[in-house]
Amino acid sequence: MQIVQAFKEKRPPALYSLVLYFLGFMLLWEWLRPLNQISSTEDTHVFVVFTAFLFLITYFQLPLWISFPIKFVALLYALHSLYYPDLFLSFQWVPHLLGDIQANMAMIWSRSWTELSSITRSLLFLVLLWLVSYLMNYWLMQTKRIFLFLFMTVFYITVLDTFTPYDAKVAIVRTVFIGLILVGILRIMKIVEKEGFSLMKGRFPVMWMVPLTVVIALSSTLGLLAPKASPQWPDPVPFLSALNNSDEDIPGNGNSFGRIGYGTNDSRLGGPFKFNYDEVFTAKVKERHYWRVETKDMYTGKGWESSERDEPLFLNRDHVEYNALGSNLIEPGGAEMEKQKASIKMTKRYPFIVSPGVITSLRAREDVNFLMHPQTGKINTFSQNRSTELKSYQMDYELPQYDEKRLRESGGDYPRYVSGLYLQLPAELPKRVKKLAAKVTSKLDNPYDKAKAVENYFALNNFGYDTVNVRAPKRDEDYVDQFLFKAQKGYCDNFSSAMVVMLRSVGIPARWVKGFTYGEYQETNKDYKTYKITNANAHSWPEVYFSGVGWVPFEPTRGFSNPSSFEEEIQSAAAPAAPAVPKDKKKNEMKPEQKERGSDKAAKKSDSGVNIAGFVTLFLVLAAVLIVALFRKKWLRQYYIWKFRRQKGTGTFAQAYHRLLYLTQLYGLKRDPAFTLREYAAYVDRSLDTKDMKVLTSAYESLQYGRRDSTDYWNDTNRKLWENLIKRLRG
Amino acid sequence: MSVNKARYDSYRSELDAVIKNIEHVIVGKKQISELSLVALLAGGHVLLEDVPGVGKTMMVRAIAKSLGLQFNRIQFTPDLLPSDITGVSIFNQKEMNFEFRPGPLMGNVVLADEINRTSPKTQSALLESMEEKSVTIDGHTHILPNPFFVMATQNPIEYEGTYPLPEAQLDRFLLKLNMGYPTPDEEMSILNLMIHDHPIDNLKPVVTSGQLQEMKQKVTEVYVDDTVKKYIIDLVNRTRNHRSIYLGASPRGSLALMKASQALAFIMDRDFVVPDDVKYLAPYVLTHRILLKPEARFEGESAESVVIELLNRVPVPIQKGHHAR
Repeated sequence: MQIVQAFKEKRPPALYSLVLYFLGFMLLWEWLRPLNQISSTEDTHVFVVFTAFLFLITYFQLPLWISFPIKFVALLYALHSLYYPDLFLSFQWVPHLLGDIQANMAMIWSRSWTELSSITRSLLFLVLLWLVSYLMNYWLMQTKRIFLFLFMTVFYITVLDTFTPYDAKVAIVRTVFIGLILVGILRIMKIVEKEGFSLMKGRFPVMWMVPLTVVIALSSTLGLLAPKASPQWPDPVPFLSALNNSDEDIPGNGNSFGRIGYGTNDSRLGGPFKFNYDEVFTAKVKERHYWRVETKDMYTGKGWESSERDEPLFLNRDHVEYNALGSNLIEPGGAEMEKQKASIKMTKRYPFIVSPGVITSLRAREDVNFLMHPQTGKINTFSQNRSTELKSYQMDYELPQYDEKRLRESGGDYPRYVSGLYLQLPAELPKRVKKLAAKVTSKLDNPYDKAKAVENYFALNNFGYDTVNVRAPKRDEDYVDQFLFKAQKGYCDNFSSAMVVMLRSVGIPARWVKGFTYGEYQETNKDYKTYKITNANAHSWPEVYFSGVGWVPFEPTRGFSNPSSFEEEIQSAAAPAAPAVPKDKKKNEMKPEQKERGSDKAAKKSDSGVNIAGFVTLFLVLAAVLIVALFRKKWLRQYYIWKFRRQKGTGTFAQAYHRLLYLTQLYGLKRDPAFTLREYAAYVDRSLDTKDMKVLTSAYESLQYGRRDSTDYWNDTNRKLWENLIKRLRG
Repeated sequence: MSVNKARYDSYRSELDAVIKNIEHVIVGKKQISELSLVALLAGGHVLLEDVPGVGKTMMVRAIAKSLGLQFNRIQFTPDLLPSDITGVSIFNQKEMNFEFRPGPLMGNVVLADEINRTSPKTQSALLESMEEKSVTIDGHTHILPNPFFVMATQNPIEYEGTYPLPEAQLDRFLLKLNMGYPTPDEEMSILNLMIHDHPIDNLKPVVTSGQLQEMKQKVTEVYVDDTVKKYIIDLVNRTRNHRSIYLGASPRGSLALMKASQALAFIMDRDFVVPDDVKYLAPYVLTHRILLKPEARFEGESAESVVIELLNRVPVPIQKGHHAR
């Protein structure tokens, strides 16, 4: 309340504060504008509206107990409108939100930043906006200083302009224009405050505001029209990128996508990468196969995201059942299942497990719970509600053996939960992708053959496998389109994404799977073979849904072969089998360098994930520190009074006196170093209208300059004087 | 502490009485009387620089009378010889030996009027005796009476036919003061006061010479903290490398500043010196000890303005062990 009052005391007239808040908001808006370009954040308008609302509420200067709840509800509403389609007032979304926050808190504690759900991230972001709006209020109304923020804004925009696709040509002009006007108004406010005359008197506003705006507008226009020198330094981006990837030549600046952006997902694919052969885990299995981690359903034109709307399922470790809609990999009776066992020993620690397919039971540390997201199939490990990482685990599972005949017979009637999610395509997907897919599949009559045709399309058309000379798509380019029609070379992400997108465009549900390939063979034992899986084995591939069967993996990436077993019928439809030989050949050739991008990408991504989340945390901490520092006037007074009421002993009086000097200076009664204590005391007494400082000071003088024993100086009388002085400090 | 306090109180009342006494005669110049007392108690001498007729002589006489001291006055003229002020040995024909006839310098309080009008020879005789508190005539050293307090005056207006005191000799004066004109109100009181007879004739001593000795002893016992000493040194040191100053103050300047501060603290009823004492006294102690560069003088700076500028710049120590805070 004190703070609110303090604000009120120094508040400029209503019209002025309206202008100030408006300009302040415009400045903050500049921070939000680039978000949808530099990160996966969509619906930035929600954040903008939320911020505007915060400013509006702050403008009305309601007491804290009213404004806080209003802002809080606004925050919830913003969050709701971002993620929940149902009615706000139905409150059905509340339990889910709470659950999500709870689960994510666990992840925050375990520092698995990459795992944070987008709801929590948005929540944190909204809170951050709230904090910043509070700070802005402080800067605008209290200290009347905005230059620091203006500087940071300009810095932010220029950095984004340099290192991301964001084009700040207009933004920088806007920012400087708004910022300078703000600085100008605040300056005059400060003068007015100091001189103590009324702003509204006479023609003063016109006399200041009009010339200010005219001068700034004129100089901005002149600046815009004036000829500009070309850059004095070469563009630093290629150099910096080269530092990071010393042996790669980077066309364009797409590489920076991996590092900058809000979120930790695959929302921005593309660009070259380097292999990393760090071991991730070793697996003991009877038969080698790919390891799944998760699937993604939403293609954005730049990469993959998960719509992830369902509650995670708790898995019964002894008898794993997939009882949620869509969590089944294989429909009941969809394929012949072969019982298998596997034992995994992790080298890298992940809060999730790798899955070979249809898990029937899991064995691991007793305290660990397994939670599966039905949609993504990702199985996270928790211990006592906290995300945890397993060193090793064993599992029983079933490997499907697909019957090609059945696959061919499977028709086009898909369950709603499949067609609803897995036929999604971005509206701006270039038409030629669809055309190509239609052309490739036109002569075939069943989904399986169509899928096979698309799978083989890349090999038949000499698409190359390349991890180095890969250009990230430009801002206006579609990831798949760029791969299919321009680059025609790439790595697993390119091939798998392209296949999923092409299939979807011809009405076949498909999704994008991330995981690992079977790894490098190590040794054979009586019952099992050991494989070492490194970061270079990370991989992505498509899964296609066939009604009656379930999800079937395909392998379109050049140089890789599908490890899943297909029971082949008589080779009637020749197309699918044809490329088998060249594939294998190619694979052998490529063996040494046939490493996967995904792994490294996973590593890189998690790095940048940590960076971003760490950045957000850092920002939050900094904001908190800043607030504490800005309001130190308020709490320091209380703290010192509290502290020195308790403290006794020889040095106490001197200490207390010096704290008082610090406080009086903090409250604007500056002491020139050439002031003697008496002169300063007289100044303080004059300002606070007391005589106490003089009395205290003469006591301190005899302590400081005389030869006095200090024990009896911190007595009740002196302490009362001291407290009185501190309490008199205001504003 | 209470015992100490009581003793200081008693001195305080005596000092107050002296100042009040002087105020009977000199109207509205409390500050000057206080500063003169400072010089007297610190065992130093005062140079009064002012136009004639503002009451310099009256003030010195008032001080002498209030303290019950012998007052002598020397009017310096160009033809004054050293022996005219110190005294001479005259042959006594009756007794057949040389007899010392003390000059006007042999007093407790000596007013050396218009000191810059006499020849350097005489000037130096005066200043030497001020420093050494003794005069040597014909091989005999004559100790000057104790206390010995010289107040020299200088007329800043007429320079024709004068012998300005060299820097080294100015250094011998503890303080240099300016009386200044009284305000119209003060002048009115002066007229009223003097309408019948001069009040100086009715002045009675209020302090015995024993008490004065005791006070002088006490002044030397006033405590000067190291932080304050450091402040003094800082100040004096800065005069030595200031851009407008040609010649800075000597260590004698530091010493003078400290001694004067002790005396002021004593008058202010304190047994320790605070930086305020130093700050207050610095212009009186330092201005006549520094020599400005000609260009600084042309720019309108004065020794006083430079000292004040320094005072506004040198940080005051406010914490033990932290000098530059």
